[in-house]
Amino acid sequence: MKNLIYIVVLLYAFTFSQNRVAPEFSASGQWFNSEAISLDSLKGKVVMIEIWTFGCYNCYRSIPTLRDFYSTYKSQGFEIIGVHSPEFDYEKDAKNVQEALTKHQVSWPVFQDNEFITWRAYGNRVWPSFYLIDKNGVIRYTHQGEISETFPRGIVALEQKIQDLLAETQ
Amino acid sequence: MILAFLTSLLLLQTQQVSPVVYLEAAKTAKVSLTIEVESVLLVNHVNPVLVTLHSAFGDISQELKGLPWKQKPELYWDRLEPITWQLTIPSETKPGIYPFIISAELALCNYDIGICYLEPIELKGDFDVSKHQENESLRLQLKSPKF
Repeated sequence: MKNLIYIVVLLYAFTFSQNRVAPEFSASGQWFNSEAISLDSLKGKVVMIEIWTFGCYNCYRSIPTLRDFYSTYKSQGFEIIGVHSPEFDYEKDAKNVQEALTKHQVSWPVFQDNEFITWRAYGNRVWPSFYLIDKNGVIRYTHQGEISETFPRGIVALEQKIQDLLAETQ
Repeated sequence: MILAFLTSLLLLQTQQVSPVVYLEAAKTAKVSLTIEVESVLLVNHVNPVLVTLHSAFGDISQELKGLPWKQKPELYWDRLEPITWQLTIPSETKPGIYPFIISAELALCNYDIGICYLEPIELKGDFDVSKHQENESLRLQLKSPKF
Protein backbone atom coordinates (compact mmCIF):
# COMPACT_ATOMS: atom_id res chain seq x y z
CA MET A 1 0.00 0.00 0.00
CA LYS A 2 2.85 2.36 0.91
CA ASN A 3 4.43 1.73 -2.48
CA LEU A 4 1.15 2.51 -4.23
CA ILE A 5 0.84 5.84 -2.41
CA TYR A 6 4.46 6.61 -3.28
CA ILE A 7 3.84 5.87 -6.96
CA VAL A 8 0.65 7.98 -7.05
CA VAL A 9 2.40 10.94 -5.38
CA LEU A 10 5.35 10.79 -7.77
CA LEU A 11 3.06 10.39 -10.78
CA TYR A 12 1.23 13.52 -9.65
CA ALA A 13 4.50 15.40 -9.20
CA PHE A 14 5.72 14.26 -12.62
CA THR A 15 2.50 15.31 -14.33
CA PHE A 16 2.35 18.75 -12.77
CA SER A 17 6.04 19.65 -12.65
CA GLN A 18 5.59 21.50 -15.94
CA ASN A 19 2.94 24.09 -16.70
CA ARG A 20 2.51 25.06 -13.08
CA VAL A 21 3.19 28.41 -11.49
CA ALA A 22 6.84 28.57 -10.51
CA PRO A 23 7.33 28.76 -6.74
CA GLU A 24 8.84 31.97 -5.41
CA PHE A 25 12.51 31.78 -4.39
CA SER A 26 13.37 31.45 -0.76
CA ALA A 27 17.05 32.04 -0.11
CA SER A 28 18.60 30.39 2.91
CA GLY A 29 21.94 32.12 2.78
CA GLN A 30 23.44 34.87 0.73
CA TRP A 31 22.86 36.28 -2.75
CA PHE A 32 25.78 36.69 -5.17
CA ASN A 33 26.10 38.91 -8.24
CA SER A 34 22.88 40.70 -7.26
CA GLU A 35 20.80 42.11 -4.46
CA ALA A 36 18.01 39.78 -3.37
CA ILE A 37 15.40 39.62 -6.11
CA SER A 38 12.02 37.95 -6.32
CA LEU A 39 10.69 35.79 -9.10
CA ASP A 40 7.66 38.04 -9.18
CA SER A 41 9.87 41.01 -10.10
CA LEU A 42 11.04 39.07 -13.18
CA LYS A 43 7.55 38.73 -14.68
CA GLY A 44 7.70 39.59 -18.36
CA LYS A 45 11.10 37.92 -18.73
CA VAL A 46 12.05 34.34 -19.53
CA VAL A 47 13.79 32.92 -16.48
CA MET A 48 15.92 29.83 -16.16
CA ILE A 49 16.19 28.42 -12.67
CA GLU A 50 19.37 26.39 -12.39
CA ILE A 51 19.57 24.15 -9.35
CA TRP A 52 23.20 23.20 -8.83
CA THR A 53 26.10 22.97 -6.41
CA PHE A 54 29.67 23.91 -7.18
CA GLY A 55 31.20 20.57 -6.17
CA CYS A 56 29.03 18.62 -8.58
CA TYR A 57 30.95 17.53 -11.66
CA ASN A 58 27.89 17.58 -13.91
CA CYS A 59 26.97 21.04 -12.62
CA TYR A 60 30.20 22.88 -13.23
CA ARG A 61 30.62 21.23 -16.63
CA SER A 62 27.25 22.81 -17.56
CA ILE A 63 28.38 26.35 -16.76
CA PRO A 64 30.00 27.13 -20.15
CA THR A 65 26.66 26.37 -21.83
CA LEU A 66 24.88 28.66 -19.38
CA ARG A 67 27.43 31.39 -20.06
CA ASP A 68 26.65 31.05 -23.78
CA PHE A 69 22.89 31.25 -23.16
CA TYR A 70 23.36 34.26 -20.91
CA SER A 71 25.52 36.24 -23.31
CA THR A 72 23.28 35.42 -26.28
CA TYR A 73 19.82 35.98 -24.79
CA LYS A 74 20.14 38.32 -21.79
CA SER A 75 19.61 41.41 -23.92
CA GLN A 76 16.37 39.87 -25.24
CA GLY A 77 14.83 39.48 -21.79
CA PHE A 78 16.37 36.23 -20.57
CA GLU A 79 17.58 35.79 -17.00
CA ILE A 80 19.28 32.95 -15.15
CA ILE A 81 18.90 32.50 -11.42
CA GLY A 82 21.29 30.01 -9.86
CA VAL A 83 19.92 28.15 -6.89
CA HIS A 84 22.91 26.79 -5.01
CA SER A 85 21.67 23.73 -3.10
CA PRO A 86 24.74 22.17 -1.46
CA GLU A 87 25.39 18.45 -1.51
CA PHE A 88 28.06 18.61 1.21
CA ASP A 89 28.79 20.84 4.20
CA TYR A 90 31.78 22.59 2.64
CA GLU A 91 29.49 23.73 -0.18
CA LYS A 92 27.37 25.66 2.35
CA ASP A 93 30.14 28.16 3.03
CA ALA A 94 29.45 31.46 1.24
CA LYS A 95 33.18 32.07 0.78
CA ASN A 96 33.58 28.78 -1.06
CA VAL A 97 30.55 29.53 -3.23
CA GLN A 98 31.98 32.94 -4.13
CA GLU A 99 35.33 31.36 -5.06
CA ALA A 100 33.57 28.88 -7.33
CA LEU A 101 31.53 31.63 -9.01
CA THR A 102 34.71 33.57 -9.70
CA LYS A 103 36.57 30.51 -10.94
CA HIS A 104 33.78 29.52 -13.32
CA GLN A 105 33.02 33.12 -14.37
CA VAL A 106 29.41 32.99 -13.28
CA SER A 107 27.93 36.47 -13.67
CA TRP A 108 24.19 35.81 -13.22
CA PRO A 109 22.44 36.07 -9.84
CA VAL A 110 22.92 33.10 -7.55
CA PHE A 111 21.55 32.50 -4.08
CA GLN A 112 22.29 29.94 -1.42
CA ASP A 113 19.59 27.35 -0.81
CA ASN A 114 21.36 25.86 2.18
CA GLU A 115 18.12 24.67 3.77
CA PHE A 116 16.85 23.20 0.46
CA ILE A 117 13.68 25.30 0.68
CA THR A 118 13.67 26.17 -3.02
CA TRP A 119 14.84 22.64 -3.95
CA ARG A 120 11.78 21.21 -2.20
CA ALA A 121 9.42 23.88 -3.53
CA TYR A 122 10.35 22.87 -7.07
CA GLY A 123 10.12 19.15 -6.23
CA ASN A 124 13.71 18.78 -7.32
CA ARG A 125 15.57 15.46 -7.11
CA VAL A 126 18.93 15.77 -8.84
CA TRP A 127 21.81 18.08 -9.66
CA PRO A 128 21.87 19.86 -12.05
CA SER A 129 18.27 20.70 -12.94
CA PHE A 130 16.95 23.47 -15.14
CA TYR A 131 13.48 25.02 -15.06
CA LEU A 132 12.38 27.42 -17.79
CA ILE A 133 9.77 29.91 -16.68
CA ASP A 134 7.73 31.97 -19.11
CA LYS A 135 6.81 35.67 -18.97
CA ASN A 136 3.80 34.84 -16.79
CA GLY A 137 5.79 32.93 -14.20
CA VAL A 138 4.74 29.47 -15.36
CA ILE A 139 7.21 26.56 -15.60
CA ARG A 140 7.11 25.57 -19.26
CA TYR A 141 10.06 23.21 -19.56
CA THR A 142 12.40 21.24 -17.32
CA HIS A 143 15.64 19.45 -17.97
CA GLN A 144 17.66 17.27 -15.63
CA GLY A 145 21.33 16.57 -16.17
CA GLU A 146 24.51 18.05 -17.55
CA ILE A 147 24.35 20.31 -20.59
CA SER A 148 27.71 20.36 -22.30
CA GLU A 149 29.57 19.07 -25.34
CA THR A 150 29.29 15.63 -23.75
CA PHE A 151 25.53 15.99 -23.40
CA PRO A 152 24.48 18.23 -26.31
CA ARG A 153 20.87 17.06 -26.58
CA GLY A 154 19.91 19.03 -23.51
CA ILE A 155 21.45 22.17 -24.99
CA VAL A 156 19.47 21.93 -28.22
CA ALA A 157 16.17 21.38 -26.43
CA LEU A 158 16.73 24.12 -23.87
CA GLU A 159 17.89 26.67 -26.40
CA GLN A 160 14.90 26.00 -28.66
CA LYS A 161 12.58 26.46 -25.70
CA ILE A 162 14.32 29.69 -24.64
CA GLN A 163 13.82 31.04 -28.16
CA ASP A 164 10.15 29.97 -28.17
CA LEU A 165 9.47 31.59 -24.83
CA LEU A 166 11.31 34.77 -25.77
CA ALA A 167 9.18 34.97 -28.93
CA GLU A 168 6.11 34.96 -26.68
CA THR A 169 7.37 38.10 -24.94
CA GLN A 170 7.39 40.12 -28.17
CA MET B 1 4.56 6.20 -21.21
CA ILE B 2 2.92 5.66 -17.84
CA LEU B 3 4.13 2.08 -17.89
CA ALA B 4 7.68 3.26 -18.56
CA PHE B 5 7.38 5.75 -15.73
CA LEU B 6 6.10 3.14 -13.28
CA THR B 7 8.89 0.81 -14.32
CA SER B 8 11.42 3.52 -13.63
CA LEU B 9 9.93 4.03 -10.18
CA LEU B 10 10.41 0.39 -9.39
CA LEU B 11 14.03 0.69 -10.46
CA LEU B 12 14.42 3.61 -8.07
CA GLN B 13 14.59 1.27 -5.18
CA THR B 14 17.96 -0.21 -4.37
CA GLN B 15 17.90 -3.88 -5.13
CA GLN B 16 18.74 -5.99 -2.16
CA VAL B 17 18.33 -9.37 -0.55
CA SER B 18 17.28 -10.18 3.01
CA PRO B 19 20.15 -12.23 4.29
CA VAL B 20 20.83 -14.23 7.43
CA VAL B 21 24.19 -14.06 9.14
CA TYR B 22 25.07 -16.84 11.58
CA LEU B 23 26.82 -15.89 14.81
CA GLU B 24 27.80 -17.67 17.98
CA ALA B 25 27.55 -16.36 21.52
CA ALA B 26 30.83 -15.54 23.25
CA LYS B 27 32.68 -15.31 19.95
CA THR B 28 33.91 -12.58 17.68
CA ALA B 29 32.61 -12.65 14.18
CA LYS B 30 33.21 -10.73 11.01
CA VAL B 31 30.34 -9.39 8.95
CA SER B 32 31.23 -8.36 5.42
CA LEU B 33 29.33 -6.35 2.86
CA THR B 34 30.09 -6.02 -0.83
CA ILE B 35 28.41 -3.10 -2.59
CA GLU B 36 28.23 -3.64 -6.33
CA VAL B 37 27.99 -0.39 -8.26
CA GLU B 38 26.33 -0.30 -11.67
CA SER B 39 28.88 0.59 -14.33
CA VAL B 40 27.42 4.05 -15.05
CA LEU B 41 27.48 5.12 -11.40
CA LEU B 42 30.16 7.02 -9.50
CA VAL B 43 30.42 7.46 -5.75
CA ASN B 44 31.52 10.87 -4.51
CA HIS B 45 34.16 10.60 -1.78
CA VAL B 46 34.92 14.26 -1.06
CA ASN B 47 33.41 13.69 2.37
CA PRO B 48 34.07 10.47 4.29
CA VAL B 49 31.26 8.00 3.71
CA LEU B 50 30.29 6.01 6.79
CA VAL B 51 28.39 2.75 6.55
CA THR B 52 26.76 1.78 9.84
CA LEU B 53 25.71 -1.63 11.09
CA HIS B 54 22.86 -1.26 13.59
CA SER B 55 21.94 -4.24 15.75
CA ALA B 56 21.28 -5.38 19.28
CA PHE B 57 25.05 -5.75 19.58
CA GLY B 58 25.65 -2.05 19.02
CA ASP B 59 26.03 0.42 16.18
CA ILE B 60 29.35 0.20 14.38
CA SER B 61 30.42 2.49 11.56
CA GLN B 62 33.05 1.79 8.95
CA GLU B 63 34.43 4.23 6.43
CA LEU B 64 33.78 3.26 2.86
CA LYS B 65 36.75 2.94 0.51
CA GLY B 66 36.81 2.62 -3.22
CA LEU B 67 38.78 2.59 -6.41
CA PRO B 68 39.31 5.99 -8.04
CA TRP B 69 37.51 6.86 -11.25
CA LYS B 70 40.28 7.64 -13.73
CA GLN B 71 38.72 10.80 -15.12
CA LYS B 72 38.28 12.49 -11.73
CA PRO B 73 40.05 10.40 -9.08
CA GLU B 74 39.98 13.12 -6.43
CA LEU B 75 36.17 13.25 -6.55
CA TYR B 76 34.80 9.84 -7.45
CA TRP B 77 35.16 6.10 -7.04
CA ASP B 78 33.75 3.82 -9.68
CA ARG B 79 34.03 0.65 -7.58
CA LEU B 80 33.83 0.06 -3.85
CA GLU B 81 35.93 -2.11 -1.60
CA PRO B 82 34.17 -4.64 0.64
CA ILE B 83 33.42 -3.45 4.16
CA THR B 84 33.98 -5.63 7.22
CA TRP B 85 32.66 -5.13 10.73
CA GLN B 86 33.99 -7.07 13.70
CA LEU B 87 31.27 -8.05 16.17
CA THR B 88 31.70 -9.52 19.60
CA ILE B 89 28.65 -11.45 20.71
CA PRO B 90 28.22 -11.43 24.51
CA SER B 91 28.37 -14.84 26.17
CA GLU B 92 24.96 -14.36 27.78
CA THR B 93 23.27 -13.87 24.39
CA LYS B 94 20.33 -16.22 24.07
CA PRO B 95 19.99 -18.22 20.87
CA GLY B 96 17.58 -16.56 18.48
CA ILE B 97 17.09 -14.13 15.67
CA TYR B 98 18.38 -10.56 16.03
CA PRO B 99 17.54 -8.11 13.23
CA PHE B 100 20.19 -5.83 11.83
CA ILE B 101 20.17 -2.87 9.48
CA ILE B 102 23.09 -1.56 7.48
CA SER B 103 22.64 2.04 6.38
CA ALA B 104 24.48 4.86 4.69
CA GLU B 105 23.85 7.82 2.46
CA LEU B 106 25.83 7.90 -0.77
CA ALA B 107 26.36 10.83 -3.09
CA LEU B 108 26.10 9.29 -6.54
CA CYS B 109 26.46 10.49 -10.09
CA ASN B 110 25.34 8.76 -13.25
CA TYR B 111 27.88 9.72 -15.88
CA ASP B 112 25.78 8.24 -18.65
CA ILE B 113 23.07 10.88 -18.26
CA GLY B 114 25.02 13.53 -16.35
CA ILE B 115 23.13 13.78 -13.09
CA CYS B 116 24.05 13.58 -9.40
CA TYR B 117 21.82 12.70 -6.46
CA LEU B 118 21.82 11.47 -2.89
CA GLU B 119 20.86 7.85 -2.35
CA PRO B 120 20.10 6.48 1.11
CA ILE B 121 20.95 2.81 1.16
CA GLU B 122 19.63 0.27 3.58
CA LEU B 123 20.07 -3.46 3.90
CA LYS B 124 17.96 -5.35 6.42
CA GLY B 125 18.80 -8.82 7.60
CA ASP B 126 18.92 -11.11 10.61
CA PHE B 127 21.65 -12.37 12.85
CA ASP B 128 20.93 -15.98 13.74
CA VAL B 129 22.64 -16.72 17.03
CA SER B 130 22.13 -20.45 17.17
CA LYS B 131 24.77 -22.38 15.33
CA HIS B 132 28.12 -22.10 13.67
CA GLN B 133 28.00 -21.71 9.93
CA GLU B 134 30.26 -20.04 7.43
CA ASN B 135 28.87 -16.74 6.20
CA GLU B 136 29.19 -15.33 2.75
CA SER B 137 29.69 -11.62 2.26
CA LEU B 138 26.44 -9.68 2.22
CA ARG B 139 25.69 -8.13 -1.13
CA LEU B 140 23.96 -4.95 -2.13
CA GLN B 141 23.50 -3.71 -5.68
CA LEU B 142 23.40 -0.04 -6.49
CA LYS B 143 21.44 0.68 -9.63
CA SER B 144 20.73 4.02 -11.15
CA PRO B 145 17.17 5.25 -11.19
CA LYS B 146 15.80 6.06 -14.62
CA PHE B 147 15.21 9.79 -14.78
